Amino acid sequence: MRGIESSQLLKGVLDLAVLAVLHSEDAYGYDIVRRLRDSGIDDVGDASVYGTLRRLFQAGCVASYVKPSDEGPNRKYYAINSTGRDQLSLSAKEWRAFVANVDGLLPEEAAA
Amino acid sequence: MTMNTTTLEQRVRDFVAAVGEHFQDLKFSEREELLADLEQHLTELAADAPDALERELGDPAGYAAELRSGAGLSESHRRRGRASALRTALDDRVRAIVDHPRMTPMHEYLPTLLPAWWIVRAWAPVALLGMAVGGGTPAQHVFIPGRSFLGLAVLIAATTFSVRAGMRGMDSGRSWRIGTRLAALATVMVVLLAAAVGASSEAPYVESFNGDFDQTPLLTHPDGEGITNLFVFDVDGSLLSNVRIYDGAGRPVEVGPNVDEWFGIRSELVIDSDGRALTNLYPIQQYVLSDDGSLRLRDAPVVLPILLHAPLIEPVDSAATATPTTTTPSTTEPASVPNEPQLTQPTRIPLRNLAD
Repeated sequence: MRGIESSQLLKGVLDLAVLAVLHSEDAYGYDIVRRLRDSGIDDVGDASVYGTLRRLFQAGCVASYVKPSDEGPNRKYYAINSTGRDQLSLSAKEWRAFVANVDGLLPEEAAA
Repeated sequence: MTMNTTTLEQRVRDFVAAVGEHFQDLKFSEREELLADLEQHLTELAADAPDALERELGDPAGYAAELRSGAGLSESHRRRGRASALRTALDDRVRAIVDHPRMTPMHEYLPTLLPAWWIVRAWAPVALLGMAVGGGTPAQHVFIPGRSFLGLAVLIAATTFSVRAGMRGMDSGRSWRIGTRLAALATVMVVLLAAAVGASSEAPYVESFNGDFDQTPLLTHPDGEGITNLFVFDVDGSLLSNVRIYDGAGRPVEVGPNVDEWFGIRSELVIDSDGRALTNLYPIQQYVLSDDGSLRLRDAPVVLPILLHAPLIEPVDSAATATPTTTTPSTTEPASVPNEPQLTQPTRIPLRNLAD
């Protein structure tokens, strides 16, 4: 028996998660993947994150710039902007409300 | 795919190309941008985790699907299978040509030709269809296919549809694939149509002329029938012989030498004292060549009786005519009474200049 597939859960909140990661610090693509995984969300694929980044960029929630590097490739950094910050706080509120509602439905103690 | 000799860069490039094949439905520029950006992203990934590259990426198809989902793109509706792979290979080859640096100037002016193409690609098939359905020359179907109002209506509808589809297609990427095939088909039709019209326009519109141009009679009726001889009757209905006929400017009226060739007759002209043939002396003595090669006199024509019995002026003294050689007013008999014009000997008729 399995719980809900985390990928299903993730689909809904990847925007929120990516914006949250960028809120603390600018990051390049693969960096964001690693930070998500470090926070415990390890079922996230590179393609999903990359796709989400593109979508957020096209929606105007993040900006991008290239940081030249002497060692290794130039990296394309993403940064959250004011639109993204507004979107983040809105989505965070919705998420917390959602979580609270689902928590309210659950029985006292799920069977161990 | 992990060959020791293949560099990391090459693996990334191959992977990006493989992923790109799943995004053929995008607009050309969109796909270009996506793949370039993806290569940037994967290069960063490869630099950070070279050993984890394959694990991270997985297979191109799966990566492409996940990327689509994350990026919010609709699912590609392409069918799997060999047909799909063939189409992709063909598209890539076409793109290789299209993207050649030399083609850049074309990229700028070709879009301006698009509207003309939209019209032509609808009109040519309809015209060809009209040609197949209706008869007549191909050129007639160019503007009114099928030579009917239905054909014209179909042409207008098809052209409208084509233009609107073209305008919509400018925004969507799918037009690239579907359009390529339809474009090839429509181009063939345009070529066929042009060939058909071109071939037909060389065909003579008038029935070809079966004779030597030089042989036509000089004197003709308004309807084109040649005049071979002139018979002049006076008010009493007597046929006059040896009359000289001149026009208002004093020029002799001649049937011309070609009547012999044209009508298969032999004319015997009277010659004057100077040895010149009197071409406007009527009626001309004419013989007909019969089948056995012998000559017989050509019959005088049948003249309607009403013409003979309507004196317009006081009849002159009938001493002018010798014998009343009137033709029998018979309209039922096709052959007339052989009215023998006197066989004139070559006489010496003084030429009188009647010109003003």
